[in-house]
Order: sequence, then structure tokens, then C-alpha cells
Amino acid sequence: MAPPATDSFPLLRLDGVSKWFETPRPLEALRSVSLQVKDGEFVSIVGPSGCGKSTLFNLIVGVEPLTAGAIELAGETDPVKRRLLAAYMFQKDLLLPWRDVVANAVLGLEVSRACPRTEARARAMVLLPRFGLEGCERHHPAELSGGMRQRVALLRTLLLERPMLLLDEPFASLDALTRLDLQDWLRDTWHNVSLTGTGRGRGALLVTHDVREAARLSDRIYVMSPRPGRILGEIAVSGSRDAQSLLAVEQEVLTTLGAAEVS
Amino acid sequence: MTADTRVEGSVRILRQVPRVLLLWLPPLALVAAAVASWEAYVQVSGISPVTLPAPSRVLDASYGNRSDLWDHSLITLYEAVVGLAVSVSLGVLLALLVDASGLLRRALYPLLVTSQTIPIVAIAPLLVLWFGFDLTPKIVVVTLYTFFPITVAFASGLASTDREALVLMHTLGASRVQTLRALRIPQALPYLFTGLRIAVTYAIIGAVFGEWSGAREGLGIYMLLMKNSFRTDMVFAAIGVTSALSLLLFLFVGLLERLVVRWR
Repeated sequence: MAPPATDSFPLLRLDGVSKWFETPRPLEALRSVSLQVKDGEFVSIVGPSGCGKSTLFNLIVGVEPLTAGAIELAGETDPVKRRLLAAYMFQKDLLLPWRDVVANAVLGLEVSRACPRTEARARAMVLLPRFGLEGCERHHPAELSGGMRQRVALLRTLLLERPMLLLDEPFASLDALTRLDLQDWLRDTWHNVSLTGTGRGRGALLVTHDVREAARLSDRIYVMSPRPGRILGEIAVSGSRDAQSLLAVEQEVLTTLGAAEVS
Repeated sequence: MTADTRVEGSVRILRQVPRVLLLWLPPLALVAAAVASWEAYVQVSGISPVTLPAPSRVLDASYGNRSDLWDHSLITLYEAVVGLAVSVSLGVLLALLVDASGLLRRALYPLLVTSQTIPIVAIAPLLVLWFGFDLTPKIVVVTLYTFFPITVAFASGLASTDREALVLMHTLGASRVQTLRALRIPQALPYLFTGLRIAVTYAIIGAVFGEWSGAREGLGIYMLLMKNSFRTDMVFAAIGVTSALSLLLFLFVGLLERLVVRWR
């Protein structure tokens, strides 16, 4: 299947990215990974646990240095500048237990001094209903369910209004029903709220080991091998997203993964 | 009634006792038993009250000298609290320095540990020599006793920051100082309180010890004076007050922790 025809510029481009860890012992984490996320695209990377998906994100935001290759994000190759162009959401919600919902959501705006405190709070408050958090603004993380906590984490990520959204298994720690709910909700929010629009375009990259999650959410899926992580294949998802086509996508992902295991 | 049903019966009764009582009953019962046998021993043996006064006599003497005890207690409490305040400031500062750089950590840690090997028995009289008979030497002794657990606890709290949370702060664009203020210091507060709880149990003893080496007022010098005038009952009274003050401070720190660390 060919990737969807689009003349959008690549928002994120990885070119032959490799990563070796030297300590505690030499370990090849990623081998020559090349991929793109175009403006407006929601892309997933599917792979088994430990295939270096999280390492890939750390490379994109410049937390770890590259061993080889190049990364360009919204036109920037400098890792220090890239850091502020991506909004990173983790598997753990990483909410600060001493801050209430709104104070957690505005953490990014607060440290970047993007806007005055009262304005930051106001911007978060406006979005609470859409995130299913209306009336919870004064609640502390301990009083929230896992799904609500993850929504606060996503709100914190989106309020940064950065071009690139990086999602590192954001729903992996949730129960199956909550996960389905949040996936639907994320798809709607992604399509209807252009929070990441800054004039430099927007895109999302999701890493997950959940094939169905990738199929439900993405426009395109990269399949990654076990360590060292390599891109095994690329699968485009049709716009219809009915049960039949989702199943076909799932099948294709599994075939790509399986083919690698056999060879 | 068999032994089994009797045991079951008493278990049932015990279950009905409020949990608070169950919590406090065993230590209180033990203390009561100890005091009762002490009293009995003194009454039966006819031992001189200078060697070992009966608890009843100690209570009597405490009540009779309550205004003296009160005045000296206030001095000792004041020294302990000021010493603790110095320790918390010093401990937090040292922990932040140790945390700030590997070089500082390597430079400071051996000195901090060595400071705890100084025999305070030997140094307390010297402190009196240097700082005189007023409050300073006592506050120094209290600080010497208490800054270490605070420093170590807070430093390990700072060191225990979640790695992913650090990456989060980094990607949010936070500077080192912002990360410290927004994430690492609040996260280390429960550790600081653990250190503080250990420190308060030393604080009153430290103050009493400082006074013992030379003072005008305070429970330590009061104990010494009473011992020298063969008022063993008053020595015991002062010991009781010392313990009570330590417990009071300990409870106060617990209360403070509940107020500050609300998210736990």
C-alpha cells in the first residue's frame, strides 16, 4: 500500500538514525532508522517492548545524543532547539501530586514563561470540559482515576502548543475500557482541536506495542523490529476506519512483524 | 468453658476496643507495670531516697517545684528550637550544595561524616570556653547533634528524583533552578521530614547536654545542681520533663508534616 498522497512538507524527518549505548556495556539500540511525519499527519511506530521506541523519542527531543544519522524537526537540526519544538507525553502521567489539576496542566507554560500565570490558568480552564475534567480543576492527582490523570497529562502536553506531539505509550497503563475511551477521544481531539498549530505545522508520533491502538489512531504506521530497532515496513491506513479495514491493517502489521521473526 | 472458647471470647472483646486504645494500651501498660514495681521495690526495701526516690516522691517534688521546672524547661526548649532552626537551614543548604555538583559532594561529604565522629562530651566544655555561659554554646551543641540527619535525608530526597520526571521537566524547557523548585524540592520534602523527626529526638538532649557543661539556666544545669544537693527526686523530675519535651517536639513535627506534605 502506498503512503497517502500529500504535498505537505515533512515536519519531522529522521535520516539513518543509529544509537549505541556505551554503558553499562555496548548495546545497539537503533539501527539506521529513517522515517517522516508530514504536516497534519498522525503516525505510529509499532514494535515489541524493548525495540528502542522510547530511545527514539529521547533522540528526537535531544535528551540523548545521536550515534549516527540526522534528525530535523520543523526545520531545526540543533538538538537544543528541537527540545522546545516537541511536546512529549509519557507512559506514566508524571503529575506532581502537590499540584491541583490546573496547576499540573500549566506546568509547561509556567516554566517556559510563555504567558502570565493567570492567563495560563485561564487557557487550561477553557479546555477542561473537552478533556472531561470540568469541575476537577481543584482536585489533586490522588483523587483522579487513571484515565483522568492521563488526560491531565495530555492537556499539559497540548497546552505547550508545540508543532510535534510525541506520545510514548500514553495509554499502556490503563485498563482496556478506559484505553478504548481515551483512544476515541484522542482521535476526535486531534482532529478537532488544533492546539499544536503554531504556523509551523503540526504532527503526532505515537509509539505503542498495541497494534489495534495504532490502527485506530494513525494515518500511517511504521513497524519496528526488536533490538536493535529497525524499520521493517510502512503501512498506510485508509480514512474509512471501519472494522474491516482496521482488521486488515492489524493483519498487515502482524505479517510485517512475523516476516521479520521468521527471517 | 474450655480454653478455646475463653480465648475466642477475649478476642471478641479486644475487637470491640477502639483501635486507638489498642495502639496505646501496650506501651502504657508496660510503663505502668514498671512504675508500680519501682514504687513497690522502694517501699519494701526501705532504700534511701537519695539513692533511689519512689515515683510518688518524684511526682510530689515535681509538683512542689513546678514553677522552677517550667522556667528551666522554657530555656531548654528555646535552645532546642533555635538549634533545630539553624540545623534545618544549614542542612537544607548543605544538601543543595552536595546536590549541585559532584565536586562539592566529594569535598563536603567526608567533612560532614567526620563532624559526626567528634566526641561532643569533649567539645562541649570548649564551646563554653569560646562562647561563654549564654545560649550560643547550647545552640551549637544542638546543631552539631541535629544537622547531620537533616542534611543526609534531604540530600537523598533530592537524589531520588524520578528520572522520567526529570526528562519531562527538560522537555518542558525548565532550567535547573526551575526543576529544583517545581519538582525536586517538593518531592524531597517528605525525606526532609524523616530527617527532622530523627533530629528532634536529639535536640532536647543536645540542649540539656550543652547546659550540663556550663550554663545559668536550663534543665541541664538544674539537673546538675539538684544532683550536687542530693535531690535525686528532682533529678528524676527533670529527666521526666526532658523526655516530655522531646515527645512534644516529635509530635509537633508530625503535625507540621501533615500540614506541609498534604499529598501523601
